[in-house]
Amino acid sequence: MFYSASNAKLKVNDEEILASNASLSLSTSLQPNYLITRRNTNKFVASDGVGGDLSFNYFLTGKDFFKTFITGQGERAREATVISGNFGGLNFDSGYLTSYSVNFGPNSPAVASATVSFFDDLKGEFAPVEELAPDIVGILNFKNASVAGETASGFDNVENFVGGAYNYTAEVKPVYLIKETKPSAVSFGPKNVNLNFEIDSPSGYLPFSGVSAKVSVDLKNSAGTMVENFTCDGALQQRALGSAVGDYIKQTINIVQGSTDASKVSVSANGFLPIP
Amino acid sequence: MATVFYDKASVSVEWGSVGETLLASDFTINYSTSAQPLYAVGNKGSLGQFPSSARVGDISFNFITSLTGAHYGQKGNIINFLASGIKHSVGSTASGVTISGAGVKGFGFLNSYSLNVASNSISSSSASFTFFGHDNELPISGRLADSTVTVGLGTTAGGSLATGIAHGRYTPLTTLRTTIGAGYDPGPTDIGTVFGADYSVSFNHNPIYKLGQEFPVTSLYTTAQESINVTEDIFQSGLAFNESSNDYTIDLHGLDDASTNDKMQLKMISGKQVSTSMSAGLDDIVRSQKTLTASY
Repeated sequence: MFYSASNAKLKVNDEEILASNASLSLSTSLQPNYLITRRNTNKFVASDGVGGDLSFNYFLTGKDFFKTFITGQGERAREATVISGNFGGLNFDSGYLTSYSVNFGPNSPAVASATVSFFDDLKGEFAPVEELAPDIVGILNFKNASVAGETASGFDNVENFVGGAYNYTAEVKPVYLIKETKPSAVSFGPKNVNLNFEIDSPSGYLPFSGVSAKVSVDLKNSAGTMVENFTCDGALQQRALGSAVGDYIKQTINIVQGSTDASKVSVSANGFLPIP
Repeated sequence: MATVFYDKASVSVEWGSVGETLLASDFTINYSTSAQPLYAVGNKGSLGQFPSSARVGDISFNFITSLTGAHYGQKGNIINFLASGIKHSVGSTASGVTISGAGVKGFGFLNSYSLNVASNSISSSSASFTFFGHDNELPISGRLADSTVTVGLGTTAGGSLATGIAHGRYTPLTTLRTTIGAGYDPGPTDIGTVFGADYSVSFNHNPIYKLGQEFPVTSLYTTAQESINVTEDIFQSGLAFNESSNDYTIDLHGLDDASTNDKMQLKMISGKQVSTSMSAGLDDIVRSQKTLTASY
């Protein structure tokens, strides 16, 4: 039996997500069980728990629910908001946001990408649905965005922010106790926010220690009210410059923010990152 | 409601202080927005239609090739002047021109320009422009209304209509004819007769859009491609793998054969012949066609 994309709803924490695409993967961690006297085997044994990923792209219509997990996930020991997911009836209840990104393109609808990793097998059965799409009044569009950037040395007279991407990644590892196949806890590793941006005014300025930089993108609705903000406040670590025949010279910068708490990296007067 | 008859719907082009009302036989203006349907898994039908790119417009028109219009240096018309200027420009930033037709106007970038000339025929040209808009300026504005401007053909050679229009009668196009020789003495053995030529040039522009603004902050001119299709009576069977490049000049003359000044000139730089063909039909001679191309 085959089904179309319209037959499988995507729900996260029981809320329907307007995803343009979704994929669910599930895998075991089996390893071949070799004997000393044999070079081959058909026996496999589990070396780790079952787990998978739920990845999807979705349209931003207002304040983004998933973005709250960037600062609200694992900031304190053993404290995390677990994400449950359901795709077409197949569900899990031990998920954690491991990656999140938003691409900024001129005049483009705002689309975010998220990946939720979970550490259990899938429950439930595939249950197709047949429902008409709801009428969505407004999908946020980057026509209604404003961008502000600053570095300690100034942004090299940058006048135009053409486009870019906001990316968040987090390392999440399951913590299993003896006799557990579903982890009783997870541990959070490094979290990273980085922002790539194409700008004008080509420059090669990049000090040995990087330079403090902050770019903030306000996303507004059609009424001009700011509903979402993407800020990366960290160190400008990379610049790239390139062009191709028939194209203009594109310069991109990459800013990395090591922390995801509310505090901001201060912009020091000399343009270099403060040494803690 | 405005009902405008064609005699009040002229096409005018302005660049800075230079302007010309063309002898247009027709024009079409298009204006479009991008409404893209968006779909979500688990839902039948679309969520709605949402914009995914900026509004753009375009205008295209055909006009009689006037020789006594606005120009700089070589005589001609403002479209030929613009095409020549862009083609030979070493700058990248395109300025665009204001084009209006029947009360509707926009700030356009020349996309293509073509003209044809054939024996005993009036030369006609065509051009198309794209309206990208700029910063907060809409690509197209205005409303349908009578145009009050009048067509002027200049004052040279008495300012009469006949002298101001390119015509095949006194346009021999000898610079485009094919010459086939033996490669050694006694020299050329066959020289073609040109029956007509179609010239075209197209320009590529790259509008730069940024976040938070619908219309581009600037538009860059990148490349241009030019071609001439020449109809004659010589078939170049010796077309080389890598033809040598030559400069080709087209001089378009009006009906005033006494005047040597009233000519419009187009110059193809480093053009190469890329194809040749011939065809025969009933009650006609065998005609051949060659294509010359150049890029900028």
